[in-house]
Amino acid sequence: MTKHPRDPKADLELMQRVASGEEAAIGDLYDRFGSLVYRMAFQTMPTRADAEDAVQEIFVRLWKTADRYDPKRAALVTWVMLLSRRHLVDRLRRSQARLKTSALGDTSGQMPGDGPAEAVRLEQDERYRDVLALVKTLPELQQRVVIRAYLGGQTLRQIGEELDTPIGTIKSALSRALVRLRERAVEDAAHEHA
Amino acid sequence: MNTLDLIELAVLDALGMLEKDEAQAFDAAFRAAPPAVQQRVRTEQERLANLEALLPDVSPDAGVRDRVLVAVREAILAQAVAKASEEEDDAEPLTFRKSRGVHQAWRVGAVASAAAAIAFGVAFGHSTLRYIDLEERFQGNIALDGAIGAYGTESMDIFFNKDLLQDVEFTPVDRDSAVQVVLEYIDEKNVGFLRCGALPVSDTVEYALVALDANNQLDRTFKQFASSGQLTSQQLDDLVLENGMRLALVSVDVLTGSRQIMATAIVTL
Repeated sequence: MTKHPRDPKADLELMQRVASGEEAAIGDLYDRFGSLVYRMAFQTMPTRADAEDAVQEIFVRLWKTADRYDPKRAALVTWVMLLSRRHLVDRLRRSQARLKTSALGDTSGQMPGDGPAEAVRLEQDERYRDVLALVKTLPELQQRVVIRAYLGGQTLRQIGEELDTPIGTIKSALSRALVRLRERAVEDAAHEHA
Repeated sequence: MNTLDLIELAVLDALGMLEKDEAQAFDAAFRAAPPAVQQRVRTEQERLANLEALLPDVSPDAGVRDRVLVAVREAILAQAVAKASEEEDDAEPLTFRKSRGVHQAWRVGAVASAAAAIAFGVAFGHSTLRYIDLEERFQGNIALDGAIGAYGTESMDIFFNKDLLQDVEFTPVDRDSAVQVVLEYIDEKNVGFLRCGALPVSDTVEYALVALDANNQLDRTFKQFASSGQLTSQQLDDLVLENGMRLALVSVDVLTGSRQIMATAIVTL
């Protein structure tokens, strides 16, 4: 797993250099977070090409917002992930390329993204295999919510309407699901390293 | 909004799941919260944002890094040009007088365009300007005669030295401009051929190839000329270019002497 050592002062200086358009700083930022951002994009976007386009857009956005980075508000890795996630969700919603959640919501073993093209299907298998294994350990409502929200990019309102469930319930289910997912992912990682 | 609400929203914010108004409300509530609550929310958000374990184990292709850098450079250029254009609307005519700094819009545009020239290399379609392409156009006919007819006798020089030609490509400050500028240079002979396309024809406006110093002040003028129409070709003898040299094509108002930058380049031989 990628390590992102935290040094608030160095992070702030890096983002100040990025904000000024210093090319070496932008390269440094990519070298630190490019892989992480790409993995997020790869998981969210329908194709590898879309993921690469999204990565470019995210780094442009990081440059544009670099002067707003405040280490008191968030560590740099968190800032990068928050901004990336927001951008990816926006992009997913804009392009209406979200996953077919009716298929995703079926937890009978069908993997997501049974698209017509074999290459696309394989990409999607690769993207979702691990996370879906974890998702399937959650209670049913949490499964359905997290798949729609985390992987499908649907708004909470949309999910609430589709599942005919109050939005407050959706929020809580998603929040709890993510906490649980993270804990399980950390546990799995610990077992793998043991 | 209590602490638990804040934490729940922090989780959703970490996933980009908040609507714009909700995100704004969350930010406002976070800022208004006591430091201890902020710290707790922040910790929760960092824990949840860092969901790396849920991400697929893939790596970007090596070329993605270059594409990212180019995309950022392009964005920087676009912003600089837009800013320069806004400032230009309210500005006095741009001058090169040494006693005054180059106009800020000028400076921003020049620097940004120069950066873009480095970044993109072939920034726009020069195909009608390059001698090599010209030669291809005339291939099968009487190439040299055709070239001389179109570009003058200097074509003979580059015809026999085309392998030595090096392009210095210019980027228009106004990205919507149709102006095209390429300087073809033969280092061994210290000769250059400036090809310009779509320079407006005017009785009161001429054009000049100039060099700028590190502060974007006028360093020297290589040649001033009038536009002859769609394609203009100028031979520059005793031309010595060095890596990193800043060049610009400027329009010159012959009545007032004011100059305005049209395109810029940084020499990379």
